[in-house]
Amino acid sequence: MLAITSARSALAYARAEARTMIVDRGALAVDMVLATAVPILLQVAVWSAIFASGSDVGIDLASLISYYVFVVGLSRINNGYDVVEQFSEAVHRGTLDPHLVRPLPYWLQRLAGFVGGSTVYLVVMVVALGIDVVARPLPRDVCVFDILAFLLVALAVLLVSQVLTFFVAFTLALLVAWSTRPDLALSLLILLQTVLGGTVLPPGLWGGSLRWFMTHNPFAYMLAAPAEFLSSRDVGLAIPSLLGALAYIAIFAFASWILWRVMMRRFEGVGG
Amino acid sequence: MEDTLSGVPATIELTGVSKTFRQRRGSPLDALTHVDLVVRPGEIHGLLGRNGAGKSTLVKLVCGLQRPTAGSVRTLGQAPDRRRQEVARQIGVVFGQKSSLWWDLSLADNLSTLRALYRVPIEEYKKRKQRIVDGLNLGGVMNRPIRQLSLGERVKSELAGALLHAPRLLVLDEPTIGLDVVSTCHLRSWLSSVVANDGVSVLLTSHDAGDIAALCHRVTLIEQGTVAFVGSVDDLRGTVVGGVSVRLTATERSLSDAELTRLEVVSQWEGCCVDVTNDHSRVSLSGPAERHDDLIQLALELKPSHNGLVLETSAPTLEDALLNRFQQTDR
Repeated sequence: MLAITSARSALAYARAEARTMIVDRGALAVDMVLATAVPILLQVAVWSAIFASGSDVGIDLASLISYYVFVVGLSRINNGYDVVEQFSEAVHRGTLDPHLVRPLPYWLQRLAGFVGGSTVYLVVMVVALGIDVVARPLPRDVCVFDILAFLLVALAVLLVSQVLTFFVAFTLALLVAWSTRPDLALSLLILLQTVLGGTVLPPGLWGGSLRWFMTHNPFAYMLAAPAEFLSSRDVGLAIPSLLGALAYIAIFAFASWILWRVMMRRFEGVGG
Repeated sequence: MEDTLSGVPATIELTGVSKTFRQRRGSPLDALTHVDLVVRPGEIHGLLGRNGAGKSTLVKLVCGLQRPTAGSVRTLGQAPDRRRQEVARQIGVVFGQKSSLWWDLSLADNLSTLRALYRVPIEEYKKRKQRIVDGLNLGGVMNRPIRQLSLGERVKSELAGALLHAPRLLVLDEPTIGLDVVSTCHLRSWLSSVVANDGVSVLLTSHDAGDIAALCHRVTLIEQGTVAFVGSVDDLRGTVVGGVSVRLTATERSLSDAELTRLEVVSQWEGCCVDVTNDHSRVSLSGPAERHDDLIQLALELKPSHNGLVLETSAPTLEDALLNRFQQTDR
């Protein structure tokens, strides 16, 4: 019963955050068009030039572009920037209390808000899927059930990658809660998401021992692994992506639980 | 748990509560020591004290945000630190300087979200929303984002959000801070009517003695983490000073340093205190009844050399009483 009540309360937070995203239409449009389209176009330009020069990178151009379309789209959805920024601001301004007296644990408020806010960016993923289908038409023997199964698994992969993104960002937010400003953490998060997440280069294109690390680090399970699954259209690839993400969720959820307890013990002394 | 005075189950009951904060450097800090407190159903209970006295710690204990080091805290019959979610569903909290609303959403969207969060049935929600919005004059700002509201409108919006789910306990931490006189008066009278109609209990902390005097049935004064007084506002006025307040208002020129020095002698008298405004245009002398003549005499001595000096005597206000009390503690 408590779980159902909490789920309904969480839904309220998700809806409120989604509405908040829609209210700021200007920023949303800029974010969706510029921050999404420009990186994809840059990658298309760079890789087209590389392929035109006759280089063999071990993957065909269409598949590579498909990967970039998905990984850039995912980077809009799985972006933990706001999680870190909002939490740091609440701690620094001492405005956490009103949220702690709500009938839903704070971490669940933030998780629900994060997932809810990201649903607006699902539009990007739908567009990405559309572009991919046009660029690489589906084989004629694919039936509707295969497509539905793929979309359902894709939704599960997306959701799990979102939860992982949240816990990674929340852990980072808790780690820097005592610093004067969150700028360093925010820059670090962007860098890690970009490089380790596979937005610059797919994990498979890294050489030697780096390849294993680039494939199995937590940021890769946030962006690169789901993008590879979507781009491959192979439901089988979803399993390693899901398992890896779930393992990291367990680790980061535990870390954030410990850090939360430590932080609250220090935070409780603040009064008026 | 029952309030032993009235036999009615208490809304809040703190028994022998202590709270100690461990500090990385230095000795532990005792924020509260052996505090007993009872708030009865339908009562507006004021929490008074200086900055750092322990009021916020007490509020956090009542809301379940902190766990007592010793003693027992019961809010609506439950241990709030162990059953925080259940308690949270039955209480409304407003922190005067901290917003809990969605900044970019309209007040209407905020209330609708809170309805979903607290699972308020739709029919009940419509009725309550109408009553609250009408009572707080918020009808004209329902579709404006919270960030575009004035401070007064924002505080009222916070109150609307806190009352939407018909809480049994309302915790108000400095609700009128920064509000103008009209907004403050309106808020006070509306709160009084809500308490009278709904029977909700209120725990109110405020540095504005006017809030406390206008609203509270009883007050608890906390000094250095311990309960220094529990009773009515009249009792606090009476027991702390029990006497007289003399106000001097300089209408033509500010009081000179020499005149102020002469008046300063009052602060050395047992139970008396002096309060001077920043621009030296008003001075308040207060003290026990037996000092009545001395205070008047001293004030009258300034009259011949100071044209336009107006003298007024009255029973001490709550502010006088608190100032007196705090100055006595400082000595």
